[in-house]
Amino acid sequence: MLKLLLLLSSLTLPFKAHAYESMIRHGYASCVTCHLSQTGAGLLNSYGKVIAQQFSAFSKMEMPKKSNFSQGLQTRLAHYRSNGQTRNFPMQFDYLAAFQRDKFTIEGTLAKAPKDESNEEESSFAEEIYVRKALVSYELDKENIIQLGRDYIDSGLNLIDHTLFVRRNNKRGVTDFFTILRSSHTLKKNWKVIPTLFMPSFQEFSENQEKGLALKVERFMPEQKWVLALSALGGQTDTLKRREVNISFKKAWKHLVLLGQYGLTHREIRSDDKSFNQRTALLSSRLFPLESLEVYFNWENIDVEDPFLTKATRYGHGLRLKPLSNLSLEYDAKRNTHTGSKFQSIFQIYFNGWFL
Amino acid sequence: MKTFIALLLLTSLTSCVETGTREDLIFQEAPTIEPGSPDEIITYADIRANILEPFGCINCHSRWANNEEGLLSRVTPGEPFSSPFYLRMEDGSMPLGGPSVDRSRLEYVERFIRQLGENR
Repeated sequence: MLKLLLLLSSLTLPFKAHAYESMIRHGYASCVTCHLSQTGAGLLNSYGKVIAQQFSAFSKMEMPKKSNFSQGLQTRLAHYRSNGQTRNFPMQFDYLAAFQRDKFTIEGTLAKAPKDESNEEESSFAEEIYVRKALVSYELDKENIIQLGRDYIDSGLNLIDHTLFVRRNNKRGVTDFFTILRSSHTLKKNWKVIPTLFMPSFQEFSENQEKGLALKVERFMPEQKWVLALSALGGQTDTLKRREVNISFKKAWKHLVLLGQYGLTHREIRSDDKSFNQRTALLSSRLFPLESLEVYFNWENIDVEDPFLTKATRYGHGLRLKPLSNLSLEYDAKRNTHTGSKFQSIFQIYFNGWFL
Repeated sequence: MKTFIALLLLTSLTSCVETGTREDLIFQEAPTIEPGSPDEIITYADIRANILEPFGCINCHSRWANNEEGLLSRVTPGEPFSSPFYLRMEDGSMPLGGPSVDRSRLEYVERFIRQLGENR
């Protein structure tokens, strides 16, 4: 069924795209230039659709039709290899839609939970569907936006790989979303401040329903192709309190982008007043020999204090090719040093299709 | 558009999937596993108490993780490096969304699987 949908979509959909943090290479310091969403990813605006065609290897340039209503599919098929074993599974299957009128934007994403082949429990289709995003945005003016609904918390780099230590270990997995009241303020053109009040989405297990405050401050230097960001977050559930600080940067040259993030998370276990720190770090270099080809190398580190002692370093490399504006092929391989893991790699086909 | 909004509302009200990183399980203190004597027989009950419950495996994999027979369907006796149960933890892909299983526990599982090859 999934394959059929992908095939049909790829034959019928004219516009689509993928954007990444490395778009700073072209002077795009912010996501909203190309995306409908403030935090990037998902549906593209008209300008983003043109850019997607421009940066793909074989897509023809066509002008998108203007419409208040946008919708699309985001899917990922994964071929996963680890220690000589292989698995093929649909990693992502999302339906996205957005409606814009005057100063209002309504965005929604319905997602199907990925099914692990090792999980034999039968569940109905309806039980596997959840709302990843349901967000209403109101533009006070070009510099100030207010948002209410369900979404991720914007913290650190918005990298696609949800298994990165800086994401996965900071509650930024694909199913970590919240009910948020967020505003975004652009100050003096090159500063952006994003305060967020967050509450549970009520799709979490009850012990993990978290409420708190988050703040992100970004400084853009478009001419030098630098972006610096500081994010802070404080939240609590019935079982834990956490305080998190992230510092991140992006720096670009013509064919190279460097990305980095350092995160410190302090957690308190509420039942026995124990506390411990977690430090996560990421450095990523991304080379672009062609506009449609990206080669990257990642270094990651995590250090969790006692009593959950974890020290690990992970090296990764990957290659992403964008033959068409609606299609990306990605190979990604990682090696953990802490467990002496032999090798794990993942080959993914990304598809983003926008109905117009 | 109306259909989309209705669908979104309906889904958010009726969705049954409980999601999100299970920090309550990840940061739940489990006793450190002592190396122990190589002769000490490790049983399904030991694996359950030290791995399956503290790391939340049972929450998602109850069908096979809840009983010994099910667990044995995920291991190749005597060969930990051919056993999906060991490999998924060893490569960090499980537990999904949480820190990896520590070295002492991996060695514990390795011993359990090797003993299965020797004793049973």
